[in-house]
Amino acid sequence: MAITVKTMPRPETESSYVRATLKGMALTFRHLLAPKWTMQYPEQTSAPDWKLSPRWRGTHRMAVDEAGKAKCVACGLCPQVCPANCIKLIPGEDEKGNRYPLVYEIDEFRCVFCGYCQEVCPEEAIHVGVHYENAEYSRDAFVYDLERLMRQPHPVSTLWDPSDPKGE
Amino acid sequence: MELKRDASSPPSTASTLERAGFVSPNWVTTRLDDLVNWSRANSLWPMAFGTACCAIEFMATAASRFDLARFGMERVAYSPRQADVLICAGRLPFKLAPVIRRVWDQMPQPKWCISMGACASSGGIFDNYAMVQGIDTIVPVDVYVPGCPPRPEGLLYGILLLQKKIKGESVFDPGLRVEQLANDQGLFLEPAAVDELSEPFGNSVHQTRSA
Repeated sequence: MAITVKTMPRPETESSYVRATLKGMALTFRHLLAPKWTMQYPEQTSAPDWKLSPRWRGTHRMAVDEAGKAKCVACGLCPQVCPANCIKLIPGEDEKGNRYPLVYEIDEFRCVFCGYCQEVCPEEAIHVGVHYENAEYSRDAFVYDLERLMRQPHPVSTLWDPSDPKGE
Repeated sequence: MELKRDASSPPSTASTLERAGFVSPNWVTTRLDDLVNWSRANSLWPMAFGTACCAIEFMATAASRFDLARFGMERVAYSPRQADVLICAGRLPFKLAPVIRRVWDQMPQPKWCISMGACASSGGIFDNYAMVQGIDTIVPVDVYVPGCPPRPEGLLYGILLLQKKIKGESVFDPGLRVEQLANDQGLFLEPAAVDELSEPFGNSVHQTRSA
């Protein structure tokens, strides 16, 4: 005995794929006219609704005084506070008793950009910067020494101030 | 494979065309390099090995604001066999080290690797017994992107660096596409080199490993 298949009659408008296809294509073409979200990154670094916050924390920068020397006094607070253990500081002292860093290196690779070093610095010497284009080909290139930290040209980040929470 | 023209040789030995820079002995190979590198650099399919928060930024990079597809990474391959570039996004514990090594071994040549974020690149703040201190001790890495996590722009910058690197490669360089296989212990570097790469860096009180 042959198996009989019960066919349900459906109206032509429901069983036709043409209607569904046109519906899908209409959705696709509607998106052609919709406002564009994509930011053309290498050419365009900010969009009207996408700006880098001044509080954003990136690659470090060492502040420089008028004489062109680093402001750091080698107090040793930033390597103490660093949770990622990425700051290497060996302090030195000149004949007048002023302390200065003999070695000041930051491994930007290990750094998690928490900004504690900027927060803790009594001389406002070390800063985290508003800078993110810092990819490299080799691991050695990430250890920024004092010279390189002083040469960084990017703007420094503004940390959140509890007495002025909106940054005014 | 570079054209090495001896500067001291008399110019009369070179033909007129060659002196004008039109024809050189390696003209075909350099043109082929350009073509192959152009197509390779603009059709990188990423294999996202996302283990942690960097993977969220990777998703943002692939989404419509930044749109990874603009750089030819149209299809994010979650299969190593169809992928060109391994993007390790996130921290890598030692338990996952054989996994990423196997994923890397399964990827066909040519292949590249991007180490995304502080944890994948160097261990980051997780300088402890459980964490691989940099995936370059497991697989060879081409481009490192620092950040915790890096911005999508930062990752795109790393990808552009990788494309630049690919465009400088030569198809005929025999050393370039050699598989660096892991030895019996699962290492592809010497243990001393691994130690040197993964030693603690700074002089913080938060030394979790050495003390």
